[in-house]
Amino acid sequence: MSKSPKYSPDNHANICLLLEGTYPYVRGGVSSWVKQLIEGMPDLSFSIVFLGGNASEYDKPAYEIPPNVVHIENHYLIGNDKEAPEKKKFWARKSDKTAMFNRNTELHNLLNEKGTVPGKEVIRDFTNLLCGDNAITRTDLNHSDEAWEAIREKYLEAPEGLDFNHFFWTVRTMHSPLFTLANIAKNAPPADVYHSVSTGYAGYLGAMLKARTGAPFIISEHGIYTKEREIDLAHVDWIPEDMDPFRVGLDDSMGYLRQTWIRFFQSLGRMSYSSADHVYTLFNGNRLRQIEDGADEQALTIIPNGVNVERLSKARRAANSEVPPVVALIGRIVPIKDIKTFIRAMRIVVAKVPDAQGWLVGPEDEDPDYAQECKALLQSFGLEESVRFLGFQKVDELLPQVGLTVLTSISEGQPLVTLEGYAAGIPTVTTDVGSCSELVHGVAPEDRAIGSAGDVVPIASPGQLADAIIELLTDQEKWRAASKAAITRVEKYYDEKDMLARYRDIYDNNIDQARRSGLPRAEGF
Amino acid sequence: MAGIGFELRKYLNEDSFTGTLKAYGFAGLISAGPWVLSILGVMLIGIVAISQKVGGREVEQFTTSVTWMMGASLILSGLLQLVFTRYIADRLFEGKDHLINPNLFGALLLTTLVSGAMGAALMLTIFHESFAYEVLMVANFVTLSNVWIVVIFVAGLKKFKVILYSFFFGYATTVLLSILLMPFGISGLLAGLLAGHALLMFLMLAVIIPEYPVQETVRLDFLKRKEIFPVLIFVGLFYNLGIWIDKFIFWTFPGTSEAVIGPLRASLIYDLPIFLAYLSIIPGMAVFLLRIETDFAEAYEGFFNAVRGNAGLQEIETLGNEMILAVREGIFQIIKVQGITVLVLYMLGPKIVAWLGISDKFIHLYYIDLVGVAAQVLMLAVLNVLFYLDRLRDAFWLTMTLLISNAAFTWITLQLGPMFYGYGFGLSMTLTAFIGIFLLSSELENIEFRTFMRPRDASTGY
Repeated sequence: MSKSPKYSPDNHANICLLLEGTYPYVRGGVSSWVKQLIEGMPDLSFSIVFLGGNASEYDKPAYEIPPNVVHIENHYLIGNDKEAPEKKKFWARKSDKTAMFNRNTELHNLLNEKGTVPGKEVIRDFTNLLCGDNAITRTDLNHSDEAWEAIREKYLEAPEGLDFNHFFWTVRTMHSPLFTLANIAKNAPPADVYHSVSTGYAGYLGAMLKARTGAPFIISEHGIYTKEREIDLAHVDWIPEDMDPFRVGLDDSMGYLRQTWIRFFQSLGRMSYSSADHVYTLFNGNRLRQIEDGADEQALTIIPNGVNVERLSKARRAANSEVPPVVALIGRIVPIKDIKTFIRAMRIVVAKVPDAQGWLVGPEDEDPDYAQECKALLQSFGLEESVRFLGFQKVDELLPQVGLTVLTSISEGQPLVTLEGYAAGIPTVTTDVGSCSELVHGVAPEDRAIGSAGDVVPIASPGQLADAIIELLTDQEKWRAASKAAITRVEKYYDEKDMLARYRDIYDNNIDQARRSGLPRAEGF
Repeated sequence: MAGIGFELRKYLNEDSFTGTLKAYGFAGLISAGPWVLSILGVMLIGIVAISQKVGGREVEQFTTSVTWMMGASLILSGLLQLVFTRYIADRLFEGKDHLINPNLFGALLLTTLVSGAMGAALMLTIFHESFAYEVLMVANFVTLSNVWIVVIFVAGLKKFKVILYSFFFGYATTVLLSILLMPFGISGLLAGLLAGHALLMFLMLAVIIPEYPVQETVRLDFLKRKEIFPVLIFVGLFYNLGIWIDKFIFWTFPGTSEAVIGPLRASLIYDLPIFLAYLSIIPGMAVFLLRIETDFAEAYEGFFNAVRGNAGLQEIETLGNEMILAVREGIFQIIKVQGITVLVLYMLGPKIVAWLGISDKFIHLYYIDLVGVAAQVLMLAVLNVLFYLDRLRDAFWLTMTLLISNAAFTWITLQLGPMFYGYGFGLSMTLTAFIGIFLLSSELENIEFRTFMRPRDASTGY
């Protein structure tokens, strides 16, 4: 925690944000959104609990910390933090421990019952097991007879012949962060409202805070956490590479462990949803997925992203100016953005429109191997003159030179870069993921009546993508209509002012509620 | 499996009486050979010297000096022996071969400096002998201390044959030189001993050093807190001090000892029976080495490969049981073989005692020493299995028990009178062996649990 740019855990905040792997250390859509939220409400105070993976992965904050952030604490889920030694003697704890582990098994069984939503008592009891006076500790998980028995029992439920070593370490690795979370929950920074910007570990921390303090707890989910973890798990490196490929049942075994992880995150998600007073999401597609994952329909509200339309409108070009033949993909150079499809499409575009330019705008350091592969592909096509890597750029300066924004992502929520392009009067071509189609064609009838702000193509289809780009770049009429629709749509539905106003209401209501019940200011104040 | 296990297994697989005999014979030679050679070597020099014109008094001074040096150098180098070999084993496991020789040189340099300084200090203070005697004593002490470091280093690499051959040539040289130098009295004998031990050490070094990258650097990495297990310093010290403490007590207790040379004393009644009894360890050591290097090493590897690999829990448990079986079988065999040896030597007792001219009054000392030595072999086996299982904390408690009980019981027997002499050592070794077996069995009982839930770093607090 030494690296926190602002560590003052006694400071009371109106809102305590629970952030897993985003602001203020990692750039990205969610981080920008958090920044908007904090900077958009300078009169409210915020504290931040940042959850990271490995301490070494996070250096300096990627954003300047606004003055209304009164406290930041960093916690890392990989690697153990120091645990206080047990106060009670071993023999005094022994009988309690058996009871605790029995309850733990019962609770796990409740979690695994198909189709049920875990009740509040499940979260309450789990929280007690982790944070209570006589809690199960990380030492217990790592070294006690009871934990060994529990792991053995679970192993016996698994398909026969499952690799025990990896099963054991899977169980241990996945549960270990929960003890870190329990320590956070025990010494949580005082706040009126706890607001988690994902489910997963941050959401579960919120659930524990809710159970302990009774303070209002809300979740805003951008991407669907469990879905993203599933994608991650599809190509994780914790699966040993030196396994004997002739071993029978190998796939079953690894598949089972992967399923175990997915179930674990699903459980965290369900407990997060059922603990939250309210859950906010960006668009209907995600709302449906959340309901499927166990969120209560009544407690779900859609609040779309917003951009600063007023500021970005200055980036618009004169209405009758030429459309620059520049196609910009703004995003990190990582596999999930499928940069290679963009490069393949640009080869077709350049063949038809020789002066067309493809700009890749975004940091390359997250996955240097992938960035290298993309550059190699570019060279093999001989496109070095037409497609360029620009690194990180300021959008306000970039957008006036751009004719089209493009996204080739295989997964998106509600991309801010598309909306920023809209505010600058730039149409888009995107893959049909997340709410992209809604952004292009509209949602409600009056929204759809505005017209299309570009085009939507299937993922990994460079041919169709190229056709759509060429059509918009060459057909001035079509481009102007799309640009007009883009401006109208972003002004009507995706203005930052509206988003901030709605969250302002939510915060105010929850702060009121917290003050009325007088609960959360007890500690430290 | 290391080379030695492979060789033993080859003999065993001949599946005949002669094959088995060869295996045991070979194991006995390489495990107890060096030790027997050193005892016989010193004895032989004494016998030859007495038959020549060297006085009996001077021979006694020589053997007493050598015995003290053996004990003192073993205890001093014991501080380094285990911690150093473990450091080497870990680096070899990591494939950092380039660190081996520089650290071996470092260990030898450190040993030389410390033993040299200590030896010199002792000679300058409490010894008032001839200059030649004092210089030779320091040189011998330094050489012996280094010999033990090299021996344990080579033994850790399982190159037992190298040790055996080196000891053979070293002691052959010692005996020959001693006979040639006999006219110079005790100084001549010590010079012969020094030359033999030096040859022995350099022979081993000459074989071992070229096996690893040779660099002209000296490193003391084995003293870095983070790269070693400091508990092993204590284990090494306690073990060596533990098996020598009863002798030291008898040598310093006025009623059981006499001054021989300078401050060095010997105990006629105590020493001969116990060194005689030590010759009986050959069969037990042979069994011990054979079992630990074949069945146990194989079962151990099978179990830990399963734990680290992709085995299911049932498979891990089966292999765990096989390892337990190998340990149990090994311990039973040691008990059986050493038991028969003790029985035979017990029955031959009166004849041996008469032949060596020891007073009948102390024949019980020889009997109880036989039992104590047998228990010591057992304890050594247990200790080695504990090292294999990385249970250094258990090893710590076990060797501490050895040291304290041997000191306490020996002291008590001295108070009780001559009829009880030797029982302190015997009881202490037996008690330690039993505690060791108890520790080992509780360790093995839950081997899967302990392997996964109590890895060493969680169980050592040292």
